[in-house]
Amino acid sequence: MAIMNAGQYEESLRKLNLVVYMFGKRVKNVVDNPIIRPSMSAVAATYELANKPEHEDIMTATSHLTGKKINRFCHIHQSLDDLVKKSKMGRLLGAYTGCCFQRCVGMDSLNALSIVTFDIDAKYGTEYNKRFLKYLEYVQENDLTCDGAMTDPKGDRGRAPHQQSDPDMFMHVVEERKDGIVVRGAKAHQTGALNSHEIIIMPTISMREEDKDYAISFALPSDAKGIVYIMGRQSCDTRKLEKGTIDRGNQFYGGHEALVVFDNVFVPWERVFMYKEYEFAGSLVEKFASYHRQSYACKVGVGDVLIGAAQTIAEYNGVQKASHIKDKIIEMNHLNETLYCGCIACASQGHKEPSGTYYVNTLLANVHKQNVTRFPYEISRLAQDIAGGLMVTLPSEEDFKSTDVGKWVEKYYKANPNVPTENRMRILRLIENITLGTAAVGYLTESMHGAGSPQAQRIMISRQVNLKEKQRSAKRLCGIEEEVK
Amino acid sequence: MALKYCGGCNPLYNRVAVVKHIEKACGDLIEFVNPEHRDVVFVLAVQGCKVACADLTQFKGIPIRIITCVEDAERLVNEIIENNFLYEKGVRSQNSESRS
Ligand SMILES: Cc1cc2nc3c(=O)[nH]c(=O)nc-3n(C[C@H](O)[C@H](O)[C@H](O)COP(=O)(O)OP(=O)(O)OC[C@H]3O[C@@H](n4cnc5c(N)ncnc54)[C@H](O)[C@@H]3O)c2cc1C
Repeated sequence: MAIMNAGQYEESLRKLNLVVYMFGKRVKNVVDNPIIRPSMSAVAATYELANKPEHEDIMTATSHLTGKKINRFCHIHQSLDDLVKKSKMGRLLGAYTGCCFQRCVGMDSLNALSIVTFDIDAKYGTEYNKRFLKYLEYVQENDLTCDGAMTDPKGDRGRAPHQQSDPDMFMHVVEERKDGIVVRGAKAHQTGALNSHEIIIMPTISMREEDKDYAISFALPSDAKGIVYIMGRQSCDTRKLEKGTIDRGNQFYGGHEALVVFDNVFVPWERVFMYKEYEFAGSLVEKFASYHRQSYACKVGVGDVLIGAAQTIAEYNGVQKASHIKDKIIEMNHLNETLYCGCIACASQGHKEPSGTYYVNTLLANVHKQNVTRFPYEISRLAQDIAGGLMVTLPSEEDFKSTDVGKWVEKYYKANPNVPTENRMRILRLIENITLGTAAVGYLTESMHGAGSPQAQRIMISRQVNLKEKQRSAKRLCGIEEEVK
Repeated sequence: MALKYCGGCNPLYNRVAVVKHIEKACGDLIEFVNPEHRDVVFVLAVQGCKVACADLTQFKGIPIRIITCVEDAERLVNEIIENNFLYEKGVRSQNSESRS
């Protein structure tokens, strides 16, 4: 079964035995939990679209291991075209779900590991790449969703892992056995963790020899013994428990993040992809982060939805012809397409690594993600400007349906006489959802911190640009002779 | 006629609706099959924009018609209805034609 459909994916999740806590209580039925389910549906969309003729050209690829057709989320990029299609897939799914569909982080981990396991083997004669490829084939054959788990809690940010007062602030090995290792620690902010079949662990930062117990990478089934999930809250999350669905904004989809605790968890050797080769931790972080920065192509798709919503509310409010509204819509599009430029550019300017995997252009991937830390905020600001204050003062769906006051809501919140008040409420709730409700977690704060906070990209940009060459151009044009040092 | 879509990341028109329109307008003059079908004699590539990125390598040697906008689709429909199109492409020969 190299390609699952949405129904098969949902059924496969039911077979997992995850230990999940939310609001202080154990969640036994994760798949049907009303707060979690929209996020499951968003991942399910990655399976659904792979089975649609009108999307399969982007959503599927040919495995370089087996030659079979597989979901692109399980694919190792074999060409620049693969990289470009990955960016397009992000936009497509962002627009389809209007939220974070969670599956990119696993794809990025797989691609980063395909490169770095090869590089470690080249230096040490180890067999991580062989192990990894066996694991990859298993992932591809079963069309699995993987959580890419990089971010540790990190404790005091000013200290290295071995300097922390609590040694568990970074995932580390606590025991080495004949058949594998035992690890302890946690991974924070894990996107889509509860919707994943597998969890792939990578170090968070580059490391020195003193930190070698922390320089580990491995993969486990998401329900391996000792793994505990504590679901993160999202703004407005409990609206999903309410009777109606209008106030949710997005009727179908959502995202989620969780704190994942590893309480002395056993990892067999065949699932270990890095073990104390500390000098490769930085390379794995950089490879994963660059791929993942490209993945923020998804925000272009969510931007498409928000622009569509802003234009719709402008029409409902009767202001669509005002020049400043038109101009704001143009500006939103300009910003959104500028984001698109970045994710397409870093893909098309990628290259082939010694492992054979195609890797994005890291400078452009970082520039792209830096833009992502800003533009969705401005696009949201413009959407809120166009929407008017009602997007945050609108009474609830229950008031709208109330036999006592519903008529007043209906009457006073009607704008364009040809548009039902309910439609106006729906589009306002969607704008609220994306710019400050549950989906704002993905569209805004994830844009800020996901794949690294803004400063992380600026450091990468400063490392990658060739300043000397720029100076040489400038000096030549104004007639400065090269100074002899 | 095999139907091959691009992935539809940011299409400039509703590709699926346009294909439905072609099917409806042409009636039984054409039959769409999936790209893996053995008896594909012709390929309609429905591309969402002028980038036209659908991977068509599997159709080597088979005539392909690309549409990238609604107007392209209209032209195709007219050609099929006027019955020039399939003759021109050699898909049907005048002799073997039973319908007019
Ligand atoms: C919605 C969401 C989804 C996410 N999904 C995933 C996921 O699926 N997998 C995953 O592994 N991670 C995920 N992340 C985590 C993401 O990568 C981190 O949020 C990011 O790396 C920043 O880390 P932090 O949140 O701990 O912030 P901090 O590290 O605390 O950063 C806060 C501020 O402090 C600054 N700072 C931090 N350390 C230093 C320092 N040493 N010196 C100077 N300044 C410093 C930062 O630049 C930033 O301005 C997700 C995050 C979010 C918000």
